[in-house]
Amino acid sequence: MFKLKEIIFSVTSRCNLKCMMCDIPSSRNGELSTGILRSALEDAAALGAGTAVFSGGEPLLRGDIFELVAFCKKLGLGACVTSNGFLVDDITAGKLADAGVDVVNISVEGDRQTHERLRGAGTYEKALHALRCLRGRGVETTIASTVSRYNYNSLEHIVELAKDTGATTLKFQPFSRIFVSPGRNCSEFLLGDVEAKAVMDILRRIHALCGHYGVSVNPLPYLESIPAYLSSGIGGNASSCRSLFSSCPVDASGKVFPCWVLSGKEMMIGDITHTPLKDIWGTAKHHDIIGRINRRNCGGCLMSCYDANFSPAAFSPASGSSILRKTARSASGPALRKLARKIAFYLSYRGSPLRLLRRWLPVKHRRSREENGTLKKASEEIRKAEETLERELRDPR
Amino acid sequence: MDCVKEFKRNLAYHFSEVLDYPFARPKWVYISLSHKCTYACRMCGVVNILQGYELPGETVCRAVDEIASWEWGSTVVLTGGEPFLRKDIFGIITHAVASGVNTEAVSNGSLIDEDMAARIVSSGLKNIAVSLDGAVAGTHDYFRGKGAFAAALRAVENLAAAKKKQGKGPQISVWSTIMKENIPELSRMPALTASAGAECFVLHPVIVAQDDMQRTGSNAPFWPGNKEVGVLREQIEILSTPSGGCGIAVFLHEPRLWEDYFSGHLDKRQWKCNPFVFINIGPDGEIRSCGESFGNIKDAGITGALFTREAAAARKRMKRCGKPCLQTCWAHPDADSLPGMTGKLVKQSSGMPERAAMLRECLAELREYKNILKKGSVSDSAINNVEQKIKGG
Repeated sequence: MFKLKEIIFSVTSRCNLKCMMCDIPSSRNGELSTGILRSALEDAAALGAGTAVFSGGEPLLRGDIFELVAFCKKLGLGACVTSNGFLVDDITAGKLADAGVDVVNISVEGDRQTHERLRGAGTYEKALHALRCLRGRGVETTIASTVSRYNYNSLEHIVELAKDTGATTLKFQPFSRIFVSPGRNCSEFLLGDVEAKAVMDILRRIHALCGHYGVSVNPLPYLESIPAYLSSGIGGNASSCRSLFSSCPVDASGKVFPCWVLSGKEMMIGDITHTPLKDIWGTAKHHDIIGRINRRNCGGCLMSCYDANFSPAAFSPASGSSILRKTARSASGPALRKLARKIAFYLSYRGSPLRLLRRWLPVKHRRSREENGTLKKASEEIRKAEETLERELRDPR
Repeated sequence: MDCVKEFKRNLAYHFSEVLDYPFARPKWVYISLSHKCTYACRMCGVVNILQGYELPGETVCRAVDEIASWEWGSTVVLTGGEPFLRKDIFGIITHAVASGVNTEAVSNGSLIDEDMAARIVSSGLKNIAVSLDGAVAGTHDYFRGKGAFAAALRAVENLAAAKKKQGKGPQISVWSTIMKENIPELSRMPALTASAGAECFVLHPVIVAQDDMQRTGSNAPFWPGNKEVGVLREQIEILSTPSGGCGIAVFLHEPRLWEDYFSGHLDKRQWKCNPFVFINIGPDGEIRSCGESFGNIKDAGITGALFTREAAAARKRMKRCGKPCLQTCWAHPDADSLPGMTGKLVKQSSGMPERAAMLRECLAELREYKNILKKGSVSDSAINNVEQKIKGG
C-alpha cells in the first residue's frame, strides 16, 4: 500500500537566522523553481496526498510562497508553512491568510533569554509578534520547539506562550544530528543521565499542562522517549514506522528520499527536477528502497513529523482518520470530499477528535454570537429608523 | 423625489452589506481598456501584467449597455494603461454617453494635444482626470519619465482652453498620488494646477500592497517614513485652508486618516469598505471588486458575476481585510449608518409638498428589508420583490 499522505518540501535552504542547532543554511542546496514545485504539488494531489508542508530554510524568503499555498488550496491540499516568524508582520500574515494557509508553524525555543541564545538577538519578540499577527488574521498557529540541553528548563514557558498567543498545538522534537553538518561535535546539546530524569519530569508536566489548557501536544509515549534519545541516542520507532509509506520528503534541490533521516545518496528515490513526482512515487525502486530499510531495521528516530507513529491508533485500519480518508475517496460530492479531507487533515495533526471538538465548540459559539450581534444591531437600527419615520408621519414638522 | 431615490439606494447598499446579498449595483465601474501605456511609471506595474489583452470596443459597449440598464446612476470610469491610446476611444465614449451612463476618463495627459482636447471636451464626458505627481518637473518626471510633467500641465491647459472656447465640457481634474518623494510639494500643487485651468484637485495615497497591480508596498521606496508623515501633516494643514487649497482641493475623506494609513495604525473602525460599491473590469474582461476576479463580462455579464459564489467569497475577504487601503472607490460612508440615513431623509424632505407620501414609501421599503432580516436568510421571493422595487425606484 503506497498511499501518499503528506508531501514535505524544503523550499529553500536559505535562512535569515543562524541558529545554533541548525546548519541547513550553510548547505547551499539551491532552490526549486515555482514551476517544478507546482507540478510536484499537482502530482501529489493526484496521488491522493492530503497535506503539503513548506519547510526550509526559511520558506518566507521565497517570494512565491503565497502563490504555492494558494495553489495547494486550489488542488484541495492542506497547506502548512514552518517559519521562524522573523518575517511575519501583519501584512505577511494577511497574505498567508488570503492564500488560505491551514497552519503556520513558528519555532520558539523557550523564554526570551534561551530563545535568543539559540536563535539570535531580537528573534523572540519577532516570533511572538508573528504568532499574534497570524492569530489576528484567523490563521491556525502551532509552536515547534527543539528540546536540548540548552532549553529544557524553559520548556514550560512555551506552554504558557501557546495559551497566551492562541497557538493550538505544541510540537516538541529532540535535537537531531540530521540538521547539523556531518562531523560536528554535538555533545553540547545532549543530556547527562541526571538531566535526562529531570527532562522526563518536565515533559510529563508539560503533557498534563497542555491537557489542562486544551493545547494539543505530541503523544505522551513520544515525549517520554525524548530524554533517553538525548542522553544515550537510543529510542525512536525502529520497526513500525509508517512514514516510509505515507510521507514524501523533497529537499531543496529536488531529491526525494524515503524519509528525512535516511537521506544518503543510496537512499535517493528520485529527483523531481528530472522526473515528475508521479513517476517517482510507488515505483519498483521506491519499493526496493523501503524493503531494504525494513530488512535492515532502521535505527529509529524521533522526528516530530512522524510522531503519530507513537500513537498506535493513528494508523491502525479502524482509526477515525483512515475511515475518513476512505470516505474522502469514495464520496461522490466534491464538497463532501473536501470536508472529509479537511477533517482527515485535522485529525492527522491533532490526534483525538474529542480534543478537536472541545477546541472548536467555543469558536463556533463565538462566531454565531458575533453574527447574531450584527443582525441584532441591524434590527435595532431598523426599529429606530422606523420610529423616526413614523413619528415624522404622525406629527410632521 | 431625489432624496427618496437616494435613501432607497443607500438602503440597498446598507442591507447588501448586512445580509451579504447584492441588492445594490456598483456605483463605480472602472474599465481598464488595455494595459498599454505611453509611460512606465515607477509606482505602477500594470504595464507588466495582462500584456496583449485589449477589450474589444463592442464588448465594452455591451458592458456599458448593461450598466445603463440597471438605472442605478452608476459611473463608468475608462482607464488603462492610457485609454487615449485606443483608436476607438471616442466611439466608446459616445456610446456610453448616449446610453445615459455617467462617463469619466483617466489619463496621464501625454496624448492630449489641442485637437484631442477639443474632442474630449465635446465628447460628453462628465469628468476627465489627469495625473500629476509633483509640483516640479524633477519629481513628476522621476516617477513617470522625462517630459511627463510638461506634457501633463499642457494637457490640463489644452483642456481648459477647449472648454472655455466651447462654453461647456467635463470637469477638469488633477489626481495625485501621495508618495514619499512628493509629500513636501503637495501644498504647492493646487495653485499650480488651478493656474493651468484645473477645477478639482484630488489626492490619494499610494497603495499598501496590491501585488498584482502595482509595485508599491510598505517596504517600497515610495512609502513615506515617520519623518515624511510629519511633513504630510503640515502639508494637509496648509491644504485644508481656503487659500492653501485654492478652492479646488477636494478631500474625499478625512485627510488625517492618511497619517494613520502611512504609519500603519489605520484600523477598520476608521475606514469601512463596502464591497458592493466598486468593481473593476480588466483588459481581459475579468471582473474584480478587490483581489481575485469573480467572473468575466464575456460570460454571464456583470450582474451575473455579482451573484456568483466567487463574488460572495471575494466580498467576504474584503470584509475580513484588516488593512484599509483608503482608496475611495470602495467606500460609501453615506450608507454606513441607518439612523444617519433616516435623519438625512427627514431633513431633506422637510417642507416638500408630498412629504407624507415620500416618507411612507421609504418606510415601506425599510419594512421589506426588515422582513428579509427577520427570516435571517436571503433566499426568498421577498428578495425579488425588493429588487423589482429598487429597479422601479
